[in-house]
Amino acid sequence: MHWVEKLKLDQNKALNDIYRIYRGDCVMWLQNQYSIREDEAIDVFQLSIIILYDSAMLGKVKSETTDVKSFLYGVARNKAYELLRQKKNIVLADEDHTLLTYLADEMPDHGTEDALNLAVKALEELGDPCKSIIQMYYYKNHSMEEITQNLGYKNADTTKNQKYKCLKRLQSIYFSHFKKE
Amino acid sequence: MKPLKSNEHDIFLLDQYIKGQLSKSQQLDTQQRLLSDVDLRTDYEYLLKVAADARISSLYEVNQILIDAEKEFVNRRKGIMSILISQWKKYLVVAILFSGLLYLGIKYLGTKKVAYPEQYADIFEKRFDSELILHETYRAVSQTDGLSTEQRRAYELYSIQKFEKSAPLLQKLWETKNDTLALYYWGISEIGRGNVEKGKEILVMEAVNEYPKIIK
Repeated sequence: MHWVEKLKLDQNKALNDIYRIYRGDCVMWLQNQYSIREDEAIDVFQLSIIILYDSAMLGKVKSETTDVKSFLYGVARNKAYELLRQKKNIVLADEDHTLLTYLADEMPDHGTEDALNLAVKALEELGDPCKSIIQMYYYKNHSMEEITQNLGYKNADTTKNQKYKCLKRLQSIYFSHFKKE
Repeated sequence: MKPLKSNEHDIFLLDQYIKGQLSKSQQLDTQQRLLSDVDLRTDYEYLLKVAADARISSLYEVNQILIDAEKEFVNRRKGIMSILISQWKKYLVVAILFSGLLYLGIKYLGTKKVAYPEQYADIFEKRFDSELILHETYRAVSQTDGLSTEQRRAYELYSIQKFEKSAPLLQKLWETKNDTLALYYWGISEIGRGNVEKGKEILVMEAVNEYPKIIK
């Protein structure tokens, strides 16, 4: 099974495997090559895995043509350069803003801290199986048939109907958050 | 935020539109409807938000997995270090014992055991190669030493002072081939392996008169 499929089917295990395999060497390489601190190198490494995952889910990379190590090291190199450029110009805050920075670049309308918090809170409140259905269908690009199989529904129509109900529930969650604010 | 107005069918249509799964004509129809139907447009914008939030929440989950993975990595590293640190005394004792055993091994096993009496030590340790090896052997194919296979084997064992092995072979050479050099070597081998009297008896025999009287 190729790594993109592994990420889609069991992201927890696949991410942990990738982390365990590349963490030591990649972080040491970043520290030696770009003279950055260990905590900075860890941030860069973690962001590189997030970008690897995001690119795989959005269909920007394919298992057949992309090697995990080459991709990770390539992204890590670019992010390390970015970090070095930033360090020249401004003093970075101590907090870890790597995911937020990435989302702000990728999704200018949604990548603010408030938007991130609301998205995470709303989907957490929605809970499973709705959260999984929404993530699988709208982000991980699974078909209705794949979701039906993964979550054990009777057929694709049942899943489609369940997704519709989930969308309505999520909307009411958003609504209640807006009302609170 | 307005409640979802579109029916399940239209929501699925919008999903396909967002994912680019509609035909050209279906796309154009949907675009027309989005321009004229306010409710459909509101639901379309809502679905775009859901897609964006699905991505954000998924990446947030990935971030959490990576934070946990880092904790596990650090703990594993700490675990290995603490095991090494907590057991350093044990490793030190093992290292000292091992060094001691190695020293004793080299001292006792590495020392060659000798059977000949002390008075012959000088002959066997310093003068043997130059004065007590009287034959010549050649390794090159073009040269021949005139020795038989039995002679070569017995003489070589004698040359490297493997007297326990050389003595019986040399005795056999003397008894069967009347090889006087073998007799001489046999006498020296007997002394070399501690049979001094027997060796002396051999070395006083007339057949070995032509060879050096180094051992008396």
